[in-house]
Amino acid sequence: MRNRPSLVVQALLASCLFAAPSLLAQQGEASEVEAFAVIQAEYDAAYQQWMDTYREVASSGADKDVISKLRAERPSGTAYLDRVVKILNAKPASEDGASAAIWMLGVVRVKGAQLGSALDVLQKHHADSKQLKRVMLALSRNATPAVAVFLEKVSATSTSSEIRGRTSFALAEHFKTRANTIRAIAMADGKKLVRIVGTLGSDVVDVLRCEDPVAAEDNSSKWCEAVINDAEFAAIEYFRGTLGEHAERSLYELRHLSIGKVAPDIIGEDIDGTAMKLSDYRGKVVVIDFWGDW
Amino acid sequence: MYPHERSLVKRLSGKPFALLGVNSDSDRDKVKDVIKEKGLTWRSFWNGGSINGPISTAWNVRGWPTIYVLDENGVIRFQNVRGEAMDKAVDSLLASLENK
Repeated sequence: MRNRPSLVVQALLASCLFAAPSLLAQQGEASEVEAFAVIQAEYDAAYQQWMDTYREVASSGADKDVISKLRAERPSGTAYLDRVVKILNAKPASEDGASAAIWMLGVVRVKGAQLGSALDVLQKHHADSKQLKRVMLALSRNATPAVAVFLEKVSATSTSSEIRGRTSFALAEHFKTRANTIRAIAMADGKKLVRIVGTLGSDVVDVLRCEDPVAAEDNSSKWCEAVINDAEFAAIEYFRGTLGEHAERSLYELRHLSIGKVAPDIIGEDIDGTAMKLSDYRGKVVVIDFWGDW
Repeated sequence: MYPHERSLVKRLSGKPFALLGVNSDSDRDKVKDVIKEKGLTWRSFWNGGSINGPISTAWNVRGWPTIYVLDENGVIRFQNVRGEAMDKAVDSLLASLENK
């Protein structure tokens, strides 16, 4: 709609042709929004160039500081964000609109109002798009409550059972992330808190601070069960397995390996081959460290 | 990792506390060398010589290191706390155990 000014605006434009150059400029801009592929190609090229340099320097045996400085110079999507937002606003219903929203959520991990508008575009115009699959993982790892609202809407309205199944599992994962984030906020010291606020925004952190992690875990279990109990969802292929298998594993984790649950016993042997059991250590506070010397 | 854990174990010697490793290296003899070299005084379960061993599989471990902190009843109380956060977590559990 933004591409086509209404009759009134056209009339105004005609009458103010010389008086309002800024209006004209705006109209010209809107009809000439660049293609998403142009930005994608620029980003890919910048990334490739950085990657080549990084590999070369890293393999030349440069010292740690040089390498870590170079690592920090990895091209960020943020540099392209303004142009991507322009596409999102100009043609939300097009494939480019979907690509723009997915880029914002997956590459830049936008927060606040930008997160809201990207989700809004996907929900209004792309609830059945195959492209949605590409953003599920990023959304699973985002504790922002608006993400759950979006996923719930899509899982209720999409006509594609694959999208509904995948949003259901993304909801399970989102609520698990959310429980972990709620606990992390409660425990965070100054530095860690600054990092969390930087990722999620202070509004979201304030909301999560008042939430109950156990309630989030209950929601996660509920969505795992929704996947497991729907034969069609459970059979969907997902990361070297099926959604059903992944949901079963997540549900097991929620029931036995999350905070507040009695840890499963470990019955085995130590490095020297002597038998040992985790339950032998009852009565003591125990730190279990899964480690390897690599 | 090693220096922090060494000092934690040393500081809490005599307290109702244990650090237990679950080691997923592939070569047992090499692990024994590491334990000797780095002065690791705590025991580790042998995960069958693989990151896909029986213990890490049963515990759905997908990243290393993964940390769990259990209270005296074997209840999971903290996950993936490192450094100072691990110290704080353990100290808080020990304090509430001692006040019982």
